[in-house]
Amino acid sequence: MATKRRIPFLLYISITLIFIFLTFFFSINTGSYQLSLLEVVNNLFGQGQDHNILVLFEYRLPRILMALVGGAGIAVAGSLLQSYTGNHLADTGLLGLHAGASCGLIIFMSFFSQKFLYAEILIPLFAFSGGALAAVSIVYLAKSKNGGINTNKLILIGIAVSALFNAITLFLSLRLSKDTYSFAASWLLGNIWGRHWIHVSILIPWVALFSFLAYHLAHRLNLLQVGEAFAQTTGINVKRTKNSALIMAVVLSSVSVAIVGNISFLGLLAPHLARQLVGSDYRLNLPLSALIGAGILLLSDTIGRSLFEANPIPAGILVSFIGGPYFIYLLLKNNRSV
Amino acid sequence: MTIWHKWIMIFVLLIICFASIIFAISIGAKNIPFITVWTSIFQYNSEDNLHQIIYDVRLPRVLGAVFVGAAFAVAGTVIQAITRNPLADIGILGINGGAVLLVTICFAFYPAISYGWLTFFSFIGAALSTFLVFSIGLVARGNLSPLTFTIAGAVIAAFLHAISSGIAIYFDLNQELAFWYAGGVAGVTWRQLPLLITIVIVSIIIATLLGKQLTILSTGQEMASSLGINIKFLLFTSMGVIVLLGGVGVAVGGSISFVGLIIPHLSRKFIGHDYRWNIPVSALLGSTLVVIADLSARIIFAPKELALGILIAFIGVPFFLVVAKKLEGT
Repeated sequence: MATKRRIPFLLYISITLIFIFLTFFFSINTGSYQLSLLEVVNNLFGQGQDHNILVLFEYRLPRILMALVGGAGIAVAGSLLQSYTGNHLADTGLLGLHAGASCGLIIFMSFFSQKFLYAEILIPLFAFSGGALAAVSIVYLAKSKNGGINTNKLILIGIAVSALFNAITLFLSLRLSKDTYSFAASWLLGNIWGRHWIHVSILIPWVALFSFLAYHLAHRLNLLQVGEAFAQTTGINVKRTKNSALIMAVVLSSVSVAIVGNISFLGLLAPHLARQLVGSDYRLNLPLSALIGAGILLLSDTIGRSLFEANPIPAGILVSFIGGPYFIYLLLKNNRSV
Repeated sequence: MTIWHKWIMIFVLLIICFASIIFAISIGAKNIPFITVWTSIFQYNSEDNLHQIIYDVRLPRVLGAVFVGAAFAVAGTVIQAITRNPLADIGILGINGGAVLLVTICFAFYPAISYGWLTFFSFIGAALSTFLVFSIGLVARGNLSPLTFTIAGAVIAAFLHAISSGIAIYFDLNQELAFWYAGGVAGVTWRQLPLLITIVIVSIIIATLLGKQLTILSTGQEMASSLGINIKFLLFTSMGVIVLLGGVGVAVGGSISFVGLIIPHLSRKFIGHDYRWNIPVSALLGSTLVVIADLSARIIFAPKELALGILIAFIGVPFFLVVAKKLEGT
C-alpha cells in the first residue's frame, strides 16, 4: 500500500519540480531587459557579462527565490492550520494571520526601521508578534463555552479580526509619508516587495527550519485527523500536537507574509491540490503542498509582471482571482454534504 | 411600547440628529458659534466670511454624511430583514464591492465621466453583486446558515476588491481611488447632493411602506406566505431598495462597512421589531452616527484627517464579534 502510493507521489513531485523549473526560466527572462535563453544559462553558471549578471543576480534571482520560499511557507502554514482547525476551509489569510503580521510589519516600519543598521533582521520578530496576536485572539474568541471550536464561526471571526488589523495598518500607514502609504497599500494586495539578498537571507532559514519541524509532526497530524479520541489512545499528546501545529503555522505564515506580501487563499489552494493528488497522508502532502505553493506564487508573480508589463499586478490579486471562487465552491459543497 | 412612546422616541432622535449636525458644522479648523450657523442657514449673507465657510465647505460635507449614513443604515436594516441574518451588511456582504468595481472601471476607461453617470454605474455594480450574493443562497441546496452566508458574502467582497485593485493598479488609479476604498464624505459637493437626497428619501419611503410586510417576513417565510404576502414581489422590491441605497451611498461616500450592521441592532433595541418604525429610526441613527464619526475623523488628529471608513471599522469590528458570539449561542 505504502509503496503503491509512493510512485504517484514521486511522479507528482517531479511534475511540480519540472513546472517550477520551467516557470523559473520564463520568469528570469521576464522584464524590460531581455536576455536569450543561452545567455541566461551562461550567466547562471558564471560565464557572462557584468551587466547581465547584475540584472540576474541583483534584481531577478532574489525576487524569484522570495516567491518560491514565501509560497512554500504559506502553503505549509495553510496545511498546518487546516489540521489544527480540522477544517479544510481554513486559510491563513482569511483567518487574519496575514493581517496581524502586516500590522506587525507596519509597526516596525513606523517606529523602528531607521533606528540602526540591519534592522531588517527584526522583521520576522515583529511579523510573528502580530500574527501570534491575531491567532490568539481568534482562537480565544471562537472558543465556545464547552471548549470546542465552531469552524464557520472561526472563519467569520478571522474575517472580522483581519478587518480590524487592516484598519490599524492603514491608519498607521496614513500617518506616515505618502510613499509608505502606497507601499502598505500595494503590499496588502500581495506585492512581492523584498528584492534584496538580505530579505532572502532573512526568509530562508525560518521557512526551512519550520517546514522541517512541520514534516517531523506529520505522523502525529495523520493520527489527529482520524479523530482526537483515537489519537489520544495511540499515546500522543493531542493538545501539544495541535498547539505546535498552530505555532508553526503562525511562524511560517507571518514570516512569509512579511517578506512576500499579503497573499490570500494560497494557504487554501496549495494544500487542497496536494490532498487531491496524493491523499490525506501528511508525510506525502506536506512536501507536495510546499512545492505547489512555491509554483503557484512564482507563476502568479511572473504572470503579473509579464502580462501587465506597464503596471505589474501584485501576485496576491492573481492568486485570489482563482482562490476566491474556489473557496466559495468548497463552502457550498461542504454545506450540501452536511 | 405605545404609539406615543414611539413618536416621542422619533422626536428625541430627530433632535439629537439635528444637534449633531449643528455641532459638526460649527466645530473645525475654525470654530464657528452656533448662532452664526443658524443665521447662515436661514439668513445667508454672501459677504460674511464665516457664512461662506459654512456654505461652501461644511454644509455639503455634513449633508453628505447625513444622507450617506441614512442610506447605509436603511440598506442594512432591509437586508437583515429579508435574509433574517443579524450579521448582514451591504459592506460586509460585498454589495458595496460591486459598486466600487464599476466605479473603478469607469475611472479606468472614461476618467471624465459625469457624476450622474458615475452614480448610474454604481447602481449597476451594486445590482450585479446583489444578484451574485443572493444567487449563492439559491445555488446551495441545503439551508445556508447565517454564518455561512456571511462568509460567502465576505469572500465575494474580498474577490471584488481584488479585481478592482488589479484594475486600479494597472491603470495607475491608486491615488484617485484610495478615497473610495477607505470611504469618506470629505469631497462631497453641492452638485452631488440633489440626486443623493432624492434617492435616499424615496428609497426610505418605499422601505417604510414595505415595513409591515418586512416585519412578517422577518418572522418566517411560511408565516408570510400563509398571510397572503407576495414574497417574490417583496424580495424584489427590497433588493431594489438595497441596490438604490447602496449604489448612491457608494457613489457619494465610498465603501463604508459596518454602519448597516450596527444601526439595525441599535434601532431594534430602541423601538422593537416593527419595521414600519424600525426603518425611519435606522435612518436617523445612521445619520447621527456618520455625522459624529465624520466630525471625530476631522478633529481627533487635526489638522490631519482620519479616513471615515477606518474610524467606523474600529467601532464596527468589536460589534460584529459580539453579534457573532451571540448568534452561536442560540
